[in-house]
Amino acid sequence: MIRVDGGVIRLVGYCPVEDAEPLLEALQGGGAPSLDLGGCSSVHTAVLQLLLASSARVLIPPPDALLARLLPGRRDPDGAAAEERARSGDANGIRASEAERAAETLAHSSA
Amino acid sequence: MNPLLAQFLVEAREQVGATTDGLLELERNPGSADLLNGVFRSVHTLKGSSGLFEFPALTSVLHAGEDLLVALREHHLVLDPAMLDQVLAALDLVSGWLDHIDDTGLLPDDAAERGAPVIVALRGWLGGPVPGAPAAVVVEETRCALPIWLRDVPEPVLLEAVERSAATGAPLVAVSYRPEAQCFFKGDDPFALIRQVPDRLHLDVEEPEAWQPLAETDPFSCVIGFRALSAAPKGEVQHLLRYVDSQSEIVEFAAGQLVQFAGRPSGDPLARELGNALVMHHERGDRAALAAAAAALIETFGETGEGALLRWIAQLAPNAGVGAPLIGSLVTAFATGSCPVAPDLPDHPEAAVPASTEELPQAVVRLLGEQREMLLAVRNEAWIAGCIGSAAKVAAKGLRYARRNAEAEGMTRAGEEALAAGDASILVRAITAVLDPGPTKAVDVVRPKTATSEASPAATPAVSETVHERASTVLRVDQSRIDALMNLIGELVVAKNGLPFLARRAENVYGSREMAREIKEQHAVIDRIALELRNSIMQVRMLPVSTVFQRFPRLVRDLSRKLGKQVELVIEGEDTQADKTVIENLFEPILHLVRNSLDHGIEAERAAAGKPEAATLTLSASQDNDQVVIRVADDGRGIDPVVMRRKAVEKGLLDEEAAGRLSDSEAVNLIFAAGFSTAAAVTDVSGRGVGMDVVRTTIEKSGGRVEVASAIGVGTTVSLHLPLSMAVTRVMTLSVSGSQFGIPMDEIAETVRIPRSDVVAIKDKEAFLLRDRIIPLVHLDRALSLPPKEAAEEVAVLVVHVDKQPVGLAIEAFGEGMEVIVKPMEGPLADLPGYLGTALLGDGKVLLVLNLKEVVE
Repeated sequence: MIRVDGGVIRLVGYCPVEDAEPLLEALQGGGAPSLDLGGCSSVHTAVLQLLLASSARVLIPPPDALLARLLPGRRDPDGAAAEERARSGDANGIRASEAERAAETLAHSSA
Repeated sequence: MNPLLAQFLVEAREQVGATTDGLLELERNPGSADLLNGVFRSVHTLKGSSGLFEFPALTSVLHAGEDLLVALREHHLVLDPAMLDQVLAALDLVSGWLDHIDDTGLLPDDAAERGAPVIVALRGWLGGPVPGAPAAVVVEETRCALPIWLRDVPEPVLLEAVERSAATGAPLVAVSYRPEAQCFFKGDDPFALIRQVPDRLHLDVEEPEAWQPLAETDPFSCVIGFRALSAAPKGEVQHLLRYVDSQSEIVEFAAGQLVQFAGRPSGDPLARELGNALVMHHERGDRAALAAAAAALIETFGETGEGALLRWIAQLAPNAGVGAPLIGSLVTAFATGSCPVAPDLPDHPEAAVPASTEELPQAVVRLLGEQREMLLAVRNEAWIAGCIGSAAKVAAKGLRYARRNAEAEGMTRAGEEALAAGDASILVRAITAVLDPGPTKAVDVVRPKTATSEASPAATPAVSETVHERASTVLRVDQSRIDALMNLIGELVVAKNGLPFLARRAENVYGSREMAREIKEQHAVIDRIALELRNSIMQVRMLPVSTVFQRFPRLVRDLSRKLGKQVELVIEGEDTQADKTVIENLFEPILHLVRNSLDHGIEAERAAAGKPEAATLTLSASQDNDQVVIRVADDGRGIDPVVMRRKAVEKGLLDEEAAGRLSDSEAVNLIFAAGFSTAAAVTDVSGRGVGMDVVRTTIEKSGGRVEVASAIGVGTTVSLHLPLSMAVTRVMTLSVSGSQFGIPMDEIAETVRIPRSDVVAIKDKEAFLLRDRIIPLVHLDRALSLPPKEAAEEVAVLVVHVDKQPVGLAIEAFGEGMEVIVKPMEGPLADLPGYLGTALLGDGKVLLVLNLKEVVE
């Protein structure tokens, strides 16, 4: 579900394909909208691609590790730095992907 | 585009369609010589025409298909469903290419590569050596090139992948999934699907090269793709993606091949010097020392190719599961400053690409020679007639292409004579007369090898002739012209509705009853003409549902084979007609329903249930007053209302009490509830995201409704009720607080007047009793935030159906029923949820048409 509070667009729970249109409108709403994905459990592909296409700032990343990895600052100038971090030798990347799998396992078993 | 090519595309698509139909028919009726002959002729003509252009890959694929059909015809081979699969796959490939040619005028760049395996598969049935360098293909399969995107996968992920594979000894799988743009309309959620890739090591988004500005973005067109890396067996991944296999590419490869992405050394001389130490450790097999040495050097080289190689060595060397050759290739790469080479895969010399682009100077000559050969080769009396017809046609086309029209006509005549006499030699002589004396020899020599790039010129002259004949009775009109006419008629209807108002004014204001009567008479005449005009235009826009249905035999066949179920598809009433827009919106919902039926409805073990092995799936269409009804019925296991109730409670859609109150048929209809579908549909197509509620939404958007009836163990029938035409809506007007509103007539159940005393308050809601049923009452003035009217003795109530539930709307007065053209809200008004749109009334007023679902909620 999409909610707009002031300049902040909140994604809550699972955002189905029907949310793509309101999200697109919200992203075009003028100003520099920013995103609160703190309550977002998962999104439909249509919503995902809008999030990727927009240059909106992510204020609070989503709890879902995979989604969080796909989204953060991909298009802002620091994107390269993020890439750098991922490449740097320590096992952060691996830990992140492990955490991601664990989170998904949890999500599956609770569903 | 070159008009010749344009004509070829039109004809080729027809031929592909005819071939597909013929093949499907043939599967049901394998003994039919006529069918086989027809299919052969289509493919032969198609191949011949394709040779006119520089599409070698296209011609070769068709040629392989043709050869297979010849073998079938001459009873060298027996028809096998798997064989049909491959011919159909080849046709799919061809029609994909045709689309590409239509867009760009060229074959796709990868045509030759994609065509090669298809040709090999087709020729595989013929046995014996496969012409056209099959070795190249085989090599490619064992040494499959890695997708280039693996280069962008973060290093830690690659390292983990190598270690995982080392631990299990199994190869890795790289998945690239590019959903088609329209996939959301099919209910696909690619992200949800790709997330389920088992044993996923990595998942990334493939973004478009350039994002469209948001203002131009279509949120319902899928522009992204996904790439995933998995350690699961290829079969499992394929199973997950089986419905999107045409949109995905799954490559299995040995983990060792990943070393080529480890890093590209810069050739630092320091590395070569230090590399010797590493080589020594490696040769002694001292993994621990090797890892330590590599780790110590990482700092020195930092973010260079050498640094990356060291990180790989440091990480992988201590892992005993990782093979020595892999470590060796990394160490060698570091020490020599060369790119790492995947171990245990010998370097293959680049396989020779089959030469297939032959120039076509003698295209016509070869073509004629080929026709003659075919005629001479045929021994079977039953085939000869078909062959003569086909050969004469192709030969005449070829000659026309060469601008030898007189000879072309002679050829056609010879063909007719030969056909009449049942003697091919007449045609053979005619062809020889044209060819003789020289070229035939050359033809015989060239033929065996260059047949793949055969040319058959001039598909077009003959085609344009037939089009010419048809043009006298059939007009092709741009749809926008019809739409413009439709709009004009809409305006005419509105203008016509103004006449009764004028009549009233003539009588009341100017006091002329005579005048008023004459105006009314004129109104009746114009009314009749407008009605007929509208009906005629609607007729123009009508299409038979067969345009949608005809795509299903193939789909059902493919799906049922994939699922391993036997399904007989029965199609009824395909002549039923409906408006073009309605028909066009039907495919996706029906596809969804058919998929559901095949996957969940039809049992895998039917014999156990005492049913015939082959299930029956019925697609039927019929007309019911001003509606067209499409039914998708199966004789599968049916939907269990008890399960549905339980699921609904589990999903939190209903509480237990409410679920208990539902009748069986209401419970079955829960499958259309949003948020329910995935749960009900889990069995094994899980994760296809949205489900039956999409069907319902799509149909409701077109102004229709969906019903499902099911009996356990007997089957399920889903009916789609759609308006015949979407242009005109019947509405009922009503007034609330002095304003006029419209409500679509088909939502209205009845109109009643109830005494105020019969309205009872339940908590903060009101309700009333109608024929022993409690119906909630909504005051429309309050719902629309209009000033309330003083309470009258009687309340006018409009009983409407919202989501199949009766609701009473308390209004001020009923109006009249009328036909209007509802225009959707535009601009800033488009966001108002409570209204379907506006309609212009005869007196120039604007009528707001309510969207009851939104208003009541």
